[in-house]
Amino acid sequence: CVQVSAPDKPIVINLNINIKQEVVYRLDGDAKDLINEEADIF
Amino acid sequence: MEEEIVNDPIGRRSRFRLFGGILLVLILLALIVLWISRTTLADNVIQSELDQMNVEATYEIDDIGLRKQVIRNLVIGDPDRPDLTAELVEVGNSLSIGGVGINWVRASGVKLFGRLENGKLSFGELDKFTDPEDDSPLALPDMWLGLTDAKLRIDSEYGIIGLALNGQGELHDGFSGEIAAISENLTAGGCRLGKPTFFGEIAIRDKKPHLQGPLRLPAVSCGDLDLSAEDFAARLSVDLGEDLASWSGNVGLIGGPLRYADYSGQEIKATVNFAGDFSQSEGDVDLTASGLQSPYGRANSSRIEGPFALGYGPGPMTASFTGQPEMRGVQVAQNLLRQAGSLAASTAGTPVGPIADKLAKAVQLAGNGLDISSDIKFSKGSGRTTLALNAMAARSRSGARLTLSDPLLLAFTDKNIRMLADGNIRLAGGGFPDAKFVLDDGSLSRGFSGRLEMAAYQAGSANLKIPTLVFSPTRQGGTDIDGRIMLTGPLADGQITGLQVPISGNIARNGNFALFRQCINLQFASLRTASLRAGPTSARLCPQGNAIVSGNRSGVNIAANAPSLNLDGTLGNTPLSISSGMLGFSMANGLQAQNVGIRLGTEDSMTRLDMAVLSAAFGRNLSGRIEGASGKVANVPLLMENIDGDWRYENGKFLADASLLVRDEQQVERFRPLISNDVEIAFDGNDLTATGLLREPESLVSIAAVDIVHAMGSSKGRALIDIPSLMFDERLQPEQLTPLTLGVIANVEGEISGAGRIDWDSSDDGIRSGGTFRTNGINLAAAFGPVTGLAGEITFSDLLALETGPGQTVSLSEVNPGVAVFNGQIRYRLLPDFKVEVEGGEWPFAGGRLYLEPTILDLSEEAERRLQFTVEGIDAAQFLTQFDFENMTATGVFDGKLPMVFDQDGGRVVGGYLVAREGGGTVAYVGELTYEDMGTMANYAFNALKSIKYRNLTIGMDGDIAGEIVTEVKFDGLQQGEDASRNFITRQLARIPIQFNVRIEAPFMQLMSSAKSYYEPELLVGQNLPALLRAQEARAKAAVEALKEDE
Amino acid sequence: QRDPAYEAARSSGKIGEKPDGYLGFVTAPSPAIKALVEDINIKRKAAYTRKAQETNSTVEQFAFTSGCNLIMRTAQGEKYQTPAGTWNTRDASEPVRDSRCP
Repeated sequence: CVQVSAPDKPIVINLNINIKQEVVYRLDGDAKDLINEEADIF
Repeated sequence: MEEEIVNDPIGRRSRFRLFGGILLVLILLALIVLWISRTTLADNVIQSELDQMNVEATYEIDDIGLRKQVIRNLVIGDPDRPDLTAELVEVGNSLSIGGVGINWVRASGVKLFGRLENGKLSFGELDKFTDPEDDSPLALPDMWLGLTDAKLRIDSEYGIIGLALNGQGELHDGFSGEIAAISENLTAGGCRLGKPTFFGEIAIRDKKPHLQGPLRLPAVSCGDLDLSAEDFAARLSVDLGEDLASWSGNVGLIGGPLRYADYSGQEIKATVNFAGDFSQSEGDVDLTASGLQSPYGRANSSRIEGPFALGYGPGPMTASFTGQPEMRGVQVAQNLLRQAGSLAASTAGTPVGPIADKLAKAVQLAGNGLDISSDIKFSKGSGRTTLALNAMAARSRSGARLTLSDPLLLAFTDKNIRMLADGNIRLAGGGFPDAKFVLDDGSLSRGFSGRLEMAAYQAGSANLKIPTLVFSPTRQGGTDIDGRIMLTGPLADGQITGLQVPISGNIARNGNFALFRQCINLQFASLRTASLRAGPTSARLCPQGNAIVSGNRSGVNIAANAPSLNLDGTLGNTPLSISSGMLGFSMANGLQAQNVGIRLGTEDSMTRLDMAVLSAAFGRNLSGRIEGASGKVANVPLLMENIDGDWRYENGKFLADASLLVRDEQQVERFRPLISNDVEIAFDGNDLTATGLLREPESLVSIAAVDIVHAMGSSKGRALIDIPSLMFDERLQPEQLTPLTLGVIANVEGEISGAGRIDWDSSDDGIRSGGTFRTNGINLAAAFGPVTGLAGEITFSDLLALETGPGQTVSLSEVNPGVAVFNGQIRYRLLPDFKVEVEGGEWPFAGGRLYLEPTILDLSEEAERRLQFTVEGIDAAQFLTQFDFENMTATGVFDGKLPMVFDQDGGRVVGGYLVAREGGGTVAYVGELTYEDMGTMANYAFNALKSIKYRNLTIGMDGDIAGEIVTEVKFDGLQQGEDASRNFITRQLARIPIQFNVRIEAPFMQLMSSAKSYYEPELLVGQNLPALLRAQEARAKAAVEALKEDE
Repeated sequence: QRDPAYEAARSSGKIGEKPDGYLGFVTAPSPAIKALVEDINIKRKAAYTRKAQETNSTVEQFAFTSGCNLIMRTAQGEKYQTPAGTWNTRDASEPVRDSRCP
């Protein structure tokens, strides 16, 4: 059988998840609405 | 002539005897012849005489005797209108050496007609008997006359007089008889005597006729003199001179009423003895008039007694009289007395009021009962009339006495009454001031000259002294007044003392007077009212018109300006100083003062009020307006500005209703200016109270009701601030009330209520303030994010410094610094200088507690604010279900710390971590996760994720809680969770201590979003799944490469 | 209908739009302008939070998206911050924006 020797030191899985780009597209319309609605603070 | 006779007396007597004898014989013969032919002779003689004098006369000779001739029916003059008729005339004559002389005449039934023209009495034909050259008044012939039933009618320019005469006797001495004179009316000297009658005896004593008897003058009226007298009766007794041209005697007169112009007397009684002739007469008169009336008053009786002289000769009339006229029971006319009263009333309420009142009462009392006596010498010469007043005195039962002590000479010319006087007039008693009026020479009617000195005149609390007042005539005929008066008297409800008023004025001829035509310096020693005591003050007063005080018949007007006025004193025992700029006062529109400053209190507790305009009207009570004023009450840290309002002074209290603006005294405003338009201020000299509702200037929303009480004496006081309900909404936001919140909180909605209190006194710690405010639900947005449902009560230990005691609590239904946390409670304390000490905060959080660690925040500082949060007993399952991670379950209880840093952009977690408690727990991903080949380990890892048992799990967190949180998840002591796919490898691995570090850079919000359902965390399942997958694959490759490098 | 003081501060270049959707200080601000900007940023944050909840995005993301728009909308002469952090004055040309802006 396959002996998978677990590495003696802990397996470190770094998983960087940083998602941004598409959110901006999604929110663009709502942002425009907000800026027009509350013009006095923009 | 007399001398010659005296030198040759002897020679003359001898020749005389011889001649006498011859003559005697002749006479006897003649007499006999005569006796026989006496009637015709007489007739012829008389006839020839008459013819010679061309006198028309008819008569009947009745008998001619030697000694007596009797004629009947004698008619002299025109028979139709005879001058003289006599029924019987008997003439007795005497025979004497000197010739035939008439001894006596007896006539009866005589009618004589005379005519009096321009002073000459003519009897028509009878005049021919008199010697035309002899113009001496009719001398009486020396004979005996007997008249019975003799009537004389005299027509004269004055009127017709009818006389009836009976009597007999020697004309020169001894004649006596009755005489009656009646006239319809007589006009003489412009006077008309109605029905005068005289019945009396007439007697002649050694050639002097004596008339005696009652003369009645029923009605006398003199038009141009405007004199009238009714039913006068006189008991006349007069002796006429020999030549009938002079007379003397006395007359007792009684009658009345007598009216002369507006003067009248009910009854006149007089005894006059006189002597005089056609040019003058003099004598003594003792006249008493009673029931006198005049426009100026009435008198019971008046008596004049003394010598008089009248000259009515050819030249203008002269007259003189000396005597002591006196009047008793004089009563001055009521309207004059009332005028004195009304003049006094017009000064009511002024310091001189009581004095004018006492003077008016004295005048009224004296005026109602007065006796006047005097010693005068009156003389009216040709064009010069003088009245010498040697003495004059008026005394009243009231005790008042007015006396002229030194002689006074008045000279009346038609234009002027000149006065030569060194007399003093003294007034005293009866409530009058002791005053001395020194008269100088000058005139009385064209400007007056004299000096008044008056001792102190006390009336109640008022006291007037007139050291000296000088009167001097002016060219226009008026009188100038100069001098000084010193006055003490009541003012409002107090007293002004030692008021020195320099008097300078003028009384014009027509009675109008003007005082103070130039500016004067007015000084007073002290002014005291119910609560005010002011020390010595001087003010410069200037006339508004041409005089400060001007008066005429219709009334008195006072109008003055003062360039400035300064008054220092105390109010109660509080130091007071009042300074004013231009001050204008007039009876018409009261007092107007500009830039008036009032300083009340000591330096360290000074109440001040500065007014642009202060006006006062003197109606029944004192009231007026304040405009453009600003002020401060003692050390209350509020500045009041734009004060405009009405004030009034009522029974010792000063009341005002005003609108104003209140501003924080501190430079760094704790609150923005507020306005009020219903401020009510009351000040009774010691306690100042002010109440009002403060409003925000733009929205006029009512903010707080303020009630201030301040005791000047102790300079102790308090201010109550009551905020029943303060609603924040789109109309009103906190930054409109205070600058402190701008940039700290915004979009505030909700209601605050509460009450504050400020106490101050003169002790060294000065001001203490506190207050409790509460809200049961306010939403706001703050730098760290919106807060909803903030509620709680805050009790300030020092309201003004915004400090509180410890243990203030506030509950927050939701705070969303990026992650919504609910039902939080924070205990805090506000420290001096805008610092906040957070004593602790607590939120229920996913089954456990989120604690806010104590810290001190400096709100005024711009530095970042560090808040330490501790997480305790978080139940992973609840945490996930609370945040709707449907496709992820976990067990295990976590503790941890979330240090956060807040700045302008929000909050960031810096070095946060969560650690699973002993016993670990499980994490299972239950959602689908499809992916292509990600390499064996990756697959292993993701499968492992499906369900992991861990012994300890730490989650490290950094990043913006409202944004990107970098979370590092470290699993340790991993074992496969129950439902993880078990296979050989996983069991093998199960024993390997896997440390599974997942670094998740995902919005923290997704991880711990609010209770409202959120979609899957980006990490695992995005809404737009494809995009999410592509991103994940990229990440997975990177992770795998990382793993390769590790191996 | 901006507040005149806010309008003046923008047109005078004292403050400018930042990429993160908030206003920033180009020069050291006066207390008044500081308070004004902080107040506006708080109001923007509250708006972004509300909109983030409606659009299920993070406050930061919504703020960032708004920032892209706001910088695009800056008028000539107004200031905006580049992703690198420098303050540019907007001119007729396209503003320098974060690559992620649409």
